[in-house]
Amino acid sequence: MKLRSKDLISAADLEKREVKAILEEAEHMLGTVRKGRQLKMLKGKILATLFFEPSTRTRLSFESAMTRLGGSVIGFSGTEGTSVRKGETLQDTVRNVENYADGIAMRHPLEGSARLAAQSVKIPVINGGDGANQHPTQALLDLFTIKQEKDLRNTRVALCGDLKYGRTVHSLMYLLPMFGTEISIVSPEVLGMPEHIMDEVEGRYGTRPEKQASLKEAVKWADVLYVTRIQRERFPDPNEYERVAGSYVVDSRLLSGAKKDMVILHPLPRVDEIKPEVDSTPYAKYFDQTFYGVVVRMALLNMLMGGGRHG
Amino acid sequence: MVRRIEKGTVLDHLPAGSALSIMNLLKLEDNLVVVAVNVLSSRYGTKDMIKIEGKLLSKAESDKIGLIAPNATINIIRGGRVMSKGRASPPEEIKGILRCPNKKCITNFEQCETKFIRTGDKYKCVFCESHFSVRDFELQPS
Repeated sequence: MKLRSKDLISAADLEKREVKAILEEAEHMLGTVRKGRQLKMLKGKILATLFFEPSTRTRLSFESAMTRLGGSVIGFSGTEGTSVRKGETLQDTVRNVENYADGIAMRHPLEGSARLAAQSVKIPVINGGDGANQHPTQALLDLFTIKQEKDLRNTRVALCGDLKYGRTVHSLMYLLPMFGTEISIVSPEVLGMPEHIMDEVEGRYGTRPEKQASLKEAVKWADVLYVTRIQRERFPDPNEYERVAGSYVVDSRLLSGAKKDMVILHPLPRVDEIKPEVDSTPYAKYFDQTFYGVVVRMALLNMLMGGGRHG
Repeated sequence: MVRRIEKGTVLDHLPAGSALSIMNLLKLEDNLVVVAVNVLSSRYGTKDMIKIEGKLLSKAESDKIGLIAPNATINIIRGGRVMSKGRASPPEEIKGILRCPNKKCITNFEQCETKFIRTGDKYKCVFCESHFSVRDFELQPS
């Protein structure tokens, strides 16, 4: 199926039936990738990846997804060497790119940039992160990863870390309750989930995520622990950062209180919030996420730029 | 000195103390304006009133009043008579007239029309998705 909108800008725009369709399409893509089949659904189509700020996984997985669908990719990473440095506006940039490509995947440091870009062109625009606002494709791949591991309906997901500026958790807040997944949140007080998102989620789904007192409590409660990075630059006082960040570290000792089948996800990159000793435990699923990112983006590209049918 | 107006607008039931903000917002320096402040009101205790000669408010201007004075009465006068009487209400959608208070919203960097949608007692920027109460906005003159 095609999505209602020509674009994917915010998880808040998606309906449950659309999310289900994306997950089903991704499941199909997963099968074809595992079989090593080369698909040709987007043969002759060009995706422009416009990354106005750094990215490793999102950009490369979009490029990998497009290539696996038989299409090709143009674009830039960082504004060095582009007319953006000469003061070209975002609107002019995407209007030009529209003449070179059939779709745009973009990341930009300013909130609302993807929505403005989408309004400026006729081709599909996919938001790969707009400031601290939204990162819907990451949230969709997180959801897909959880679905591979758990039954979404009977799962408890604890979101922890920087919930104020973390765009992936903002997107997840809209997607998880669609499937009856229970959410709780745990974060330093200054990095709490924006109240407007809590209010909107409560208004839509009738439940307000509960706050856990500590990471330790969240680990005991959760079936899925979703960890995000606490960034040093968010704290005016470096001592405060050291104090807070130290209490949001996932290590073997903390995991001794976890359910045996709990899984840990992280949108990556991580710095030191998950200790390397955790990587080899059955809890660690964050590298699986990066693989699922490709198949979810294949599904999205096919639905937005192709016919949206399985190949 | 305060004569009956032939054509214009009378804004009544404005919150006491809001008249000057509303005058500034509507850029009324070229109009003949009569202002009454802290007038006794049976409904609100005290209220402000503004009588504007020669100006009929547009929808966008009424929306601005609705933001500051959601219970204001807007009387349109033609030929010396009240031709219509409406209640200002918080607009469902505000296009173009407000700047987004989020400093990192793209609309503060590019030339584009801002748009806010009412969600209960707040307004949501359709671009950055942040929510704001009316007092968060710096209301710009027309």
